[in-house]
Amino acid sequence: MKKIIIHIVLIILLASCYSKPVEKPVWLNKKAIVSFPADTFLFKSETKNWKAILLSFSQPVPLQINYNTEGFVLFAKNKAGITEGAAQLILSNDNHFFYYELNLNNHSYGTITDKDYRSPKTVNPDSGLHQQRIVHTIDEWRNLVYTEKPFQYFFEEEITLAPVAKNYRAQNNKPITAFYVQPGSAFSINISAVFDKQENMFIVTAGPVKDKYNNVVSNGTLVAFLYNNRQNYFRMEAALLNGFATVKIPAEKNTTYNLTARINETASQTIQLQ
Amino acid sequence: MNNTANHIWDEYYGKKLLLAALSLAMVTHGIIIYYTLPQTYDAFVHLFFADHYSRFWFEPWEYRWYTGFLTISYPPLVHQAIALISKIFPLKVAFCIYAVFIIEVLIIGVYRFTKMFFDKTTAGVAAVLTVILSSIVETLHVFGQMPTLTGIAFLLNALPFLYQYIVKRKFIYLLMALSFLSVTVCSHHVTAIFGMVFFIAPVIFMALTDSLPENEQPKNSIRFALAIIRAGFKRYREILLFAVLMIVLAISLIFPYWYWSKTDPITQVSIPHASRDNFFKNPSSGLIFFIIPLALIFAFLPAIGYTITRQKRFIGWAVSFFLCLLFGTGGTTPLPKMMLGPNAFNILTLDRFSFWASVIAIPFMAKFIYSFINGHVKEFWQKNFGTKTHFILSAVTGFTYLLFVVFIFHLGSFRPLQPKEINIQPMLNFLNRDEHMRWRYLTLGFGDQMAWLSANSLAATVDGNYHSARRLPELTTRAVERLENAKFSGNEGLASLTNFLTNAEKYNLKYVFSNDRYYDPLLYYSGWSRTIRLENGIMVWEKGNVSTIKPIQPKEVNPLLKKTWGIFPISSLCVAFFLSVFYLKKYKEKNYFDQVTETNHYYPLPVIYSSSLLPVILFSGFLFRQVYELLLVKEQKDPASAVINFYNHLDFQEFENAFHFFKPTPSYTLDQYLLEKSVNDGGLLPSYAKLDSISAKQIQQQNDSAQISVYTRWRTALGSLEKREVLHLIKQNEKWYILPQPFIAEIPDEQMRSYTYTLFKKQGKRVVSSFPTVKDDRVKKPFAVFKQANFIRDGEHNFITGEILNADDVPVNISLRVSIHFKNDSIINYYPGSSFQYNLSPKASSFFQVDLDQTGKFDSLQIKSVELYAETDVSEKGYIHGGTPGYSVKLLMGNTVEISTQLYNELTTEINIPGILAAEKDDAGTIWQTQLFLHNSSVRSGLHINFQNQIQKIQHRAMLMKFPITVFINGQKREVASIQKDETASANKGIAILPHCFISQEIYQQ
Repeated sequence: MKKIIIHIVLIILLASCYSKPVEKPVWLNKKAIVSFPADTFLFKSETKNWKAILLSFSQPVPLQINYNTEGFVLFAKNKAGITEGAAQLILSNDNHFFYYELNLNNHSYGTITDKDYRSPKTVNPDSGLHQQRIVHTIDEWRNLVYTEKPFQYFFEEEITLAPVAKNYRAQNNKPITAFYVQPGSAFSINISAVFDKQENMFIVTAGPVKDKYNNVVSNGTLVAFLYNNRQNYFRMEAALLNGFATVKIPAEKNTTYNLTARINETASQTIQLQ
Repeated sequence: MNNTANHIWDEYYGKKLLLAALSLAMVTHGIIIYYTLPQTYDAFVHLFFADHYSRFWFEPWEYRWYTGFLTISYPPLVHQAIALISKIFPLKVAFCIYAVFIIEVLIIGVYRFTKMFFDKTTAGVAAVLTVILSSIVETLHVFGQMPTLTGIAFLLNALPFLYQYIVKRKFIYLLMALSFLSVTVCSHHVTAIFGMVFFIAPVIFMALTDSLPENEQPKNSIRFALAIIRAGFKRYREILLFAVLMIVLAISLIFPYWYWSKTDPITQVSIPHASRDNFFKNPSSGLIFFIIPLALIFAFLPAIGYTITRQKRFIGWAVSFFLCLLFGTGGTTPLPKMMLGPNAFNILTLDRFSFWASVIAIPFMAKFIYSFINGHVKEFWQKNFGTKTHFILSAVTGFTYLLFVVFIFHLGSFRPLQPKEINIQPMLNFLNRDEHMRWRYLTLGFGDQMAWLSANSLAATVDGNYHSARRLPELTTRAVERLENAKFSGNEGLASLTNFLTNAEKYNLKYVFSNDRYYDPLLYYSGWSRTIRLENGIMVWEKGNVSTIKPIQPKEVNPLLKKTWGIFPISSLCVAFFLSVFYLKKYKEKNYFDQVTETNHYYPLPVIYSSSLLPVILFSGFLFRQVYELLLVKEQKDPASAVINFYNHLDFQEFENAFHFFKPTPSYTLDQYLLEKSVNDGGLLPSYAKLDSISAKQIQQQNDSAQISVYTRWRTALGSLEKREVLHLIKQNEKWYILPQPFIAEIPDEQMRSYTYTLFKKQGKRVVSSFPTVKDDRVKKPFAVFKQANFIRDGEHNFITGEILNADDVPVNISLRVSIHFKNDSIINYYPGSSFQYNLSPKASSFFQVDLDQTGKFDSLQIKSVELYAETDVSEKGYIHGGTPGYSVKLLMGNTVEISTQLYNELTTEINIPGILAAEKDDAGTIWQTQLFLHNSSVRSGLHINFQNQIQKIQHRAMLMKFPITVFINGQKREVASIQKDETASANKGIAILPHCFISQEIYQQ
């Protein structure tokens, strides 16, 4: 008798473990390309308690569900656009998952943004003034949009910049798109000196130092003032600021200095300090 | 009173004393440990390991130190236990909780250990003694050696069980002994290994002796030895079973450790440890590692020596005790090295032998103390000298010893072993932001707190604080403990540090946290730039052009071994705990030491006198010595002492104390001294050097005046410096005073100085986002040009010399690398040392020299090609090299020339280390060598300084090698510009110079 009871209990347990299989809902208005968020997804199913997620290749979007007598309708709420391309719709019911392949297209572009990339961002007339430019346009959800030319997503060109040292912007009001034409190397160095009686010093000024395109050579450029008397060779360094570098050299009685200012291999004329 | 009543009272007193000891330990060590912890040697290392297990319990690969090492190189139990507690409490608190727990276990262990020798009251006294025993206080509060304490605590608890097992042959005792010994094995391998010799062997010997019936114990030594051997054979099953099981447990519980020791043996150069010193030559080492831990043992040595040699059952302990005592003497005698062998001697830290000697001595000291307080010795003193004498003797001994213990608690304050506590939070914030963790960092001048920083961060450092695990050849081939305290390892330490600082790219080392300006000159002249001073005063140095850490393949450990490493050790502690509970409930027997002979309280007169008076003499003497050193030492008793003590005060920057060595006059005040000092003091020697040695020689002495020639040797991060000067002293009121030297200051014309600096700020265009903005925030790699690059061979020396120009419009940081390809397809990289200006202003250029290997090596390997790489990075700092050097060159003997430099400081800040980078050029302008010359004293704003340096010209003897050098700038192959003649060099016997000075003022961002 005991054995029979045990068997009965086991059979009851087995029966209680059985659950009704969930059938895959049928997508009634199936399309190869779904327009988002305008299109809705119409499904036929007898089962309730569905969850729906639309997976674009970059983000999951939970969908709302409205049930009707035949099945249910899915739609996106509070979403105006999405990253376009191949996507998957996932329907889940407890531990049952069903996948539907589709392609997404936005219903509208939203706000259109132009992108203008420059490379290199910094050019120096010493080496070259060529720059590569790539232009493209994206919609509000970062999808590529055709440029002005039909069926072209990108526009590319090689440009030669004017040799005018300045900060430029590829796109107005966008400092992040700034690119730079730097001044080149010093072409010539003017030099002048005066004697400051009060301080007993020679004030030597190099400048304005310009490159071959007449740009003022960049701030911080090292100017070496090399001067010598009969005993010693001196090297005083100063940095250019707005094209000028000034040093004060202490004067000594009965001592004459021959002075040259140098920036790399470019040298000024030699002057005498006495 | 009958015997049973005696036992009851004995047990009552014993347990009362044990409880008192446990409570006392809780309120003393429990409170103090949190405050002494930051000043200990080892606590932070164990905290780091605990942090490792807290984060990666089953993963033994620790990437944060030494470019990665395996934590299976140290038994894990202590660290794992702290890691578990740290899941509830902060790490430091977890350590303290664990420490208190272990001290309590240790006290119980000592109590049980002592019961093997004497009665329970004596054991209770031993428990109390443990709380204040200098060796234990030092091990916990000065050394922070938690595994050592854990090991000995459980070992002592295991010994009585082992004794019982041998005597009574009951399996439960074997089980208990093995369970406690398992904890010892998993906590500290050294205690486990040496514990077998110094603790377990004597226990077995004692048990065998006690197993002999009293009437069968022969008096004759040989017969006794034979009787013991016979007893051993009678119990060979027990001994063998214990030995086999012990070996199996020791191997299996920490098998990964043994596996690691076998497969990856320690082959590094021995690191000097003060416990191996000759204590007569280095008394301070002797004080820390021998005198302090053994002070009480020395005081009671007659009593210990008498008791431990009195009974045959103690013979094993006597041998252990005296052997440990002998090994604890370190290198004072050659015996420890001879007995241990050079390998073990150079690996082991010998202070642990002193520690074990002190532990073995506890029961014997406790016996005498008990007798002195309430026994035969007390009766002797009271009977012969009266109660008062005994009371005074007890009080003075107790009071002076307690003062001695207080001194040990505060040893870290009296003799700082560590730098002051550093707030690590600003460094953690720095490492966490801007992806700074993608590079390695290095700390300098942190002491053991570098381990605390590591424990709190996931960032990696090239350094580490567990030298047994390091495998980088650059660390293992030199006797350097850590890079962060390289200055204490002499020339070897600095050479090792220099290696890492110059080869930073090899180790992806980008940041240095410096807590010691001693290293500033080395950092600056190795191409490091100061980035930011953090809120805690730590200066962050940065090196440009260092690539991020590349993934390193961890050393493979079998997954099963990883699991056993994570499970077995901690299980041993749990098993020991549950077995103890089980044992106490089921098996605990009262009076189970019934076979132990009664304690004999008799001491002969010489022992009573010596052991009663020695503690008073020793501890009072110690107290008087401390007072004398603080108040009564005569620093100016003779001219030489006065000069040496003057320099000592200067070295520790105690300027007011130093001033008191000058002859007191109304015109030379402290204010005047400090003023003169501020004007003419500064530079490499006064500010960045540490006095290494001093000798004062008396040139002449007439009545009350003397002349002393002083030779001082200073250690700087850039090498050693020497200085000789003559001081005049006079004697006044029995003291010798130094006569201040006349001071003539250079006075500039101007009262106000102005100078225009062009400073840069690399602000970038980064969008405020934790994601890198990929493209737009990148500043382009600046242009650079090699003006020349030459392969020079001067006998055995080879080097690449040349000149590089910053051709861009922004300041740059340049890193150079020479890659030599050999015919066997091997490549060796070389980096410049200090003969290069790493940061250059726009259109500035610098000479450079990259030292290569010896000619012999190159000839054997055969060079295939030579490549010279330059990587540039925009820099906003470090490009002001300061000062206007004027120079002339004089030909000396042979090809040696003397460069006389007059450096004028036209800047508005002091130049702390004036220097020049000199290049030897030939008529065509080819650079043959480049050398950095620094001057010891600083030069203040608007003033001049003159210095001379000699350089040996080499172009007549050296060779310009014909290997073509291929140069690359930022990865692109480039051409070397044609060499230009240098008229200035030609006019100066081929020597050209550039200013290369260090300015410590941070506003100039050098």
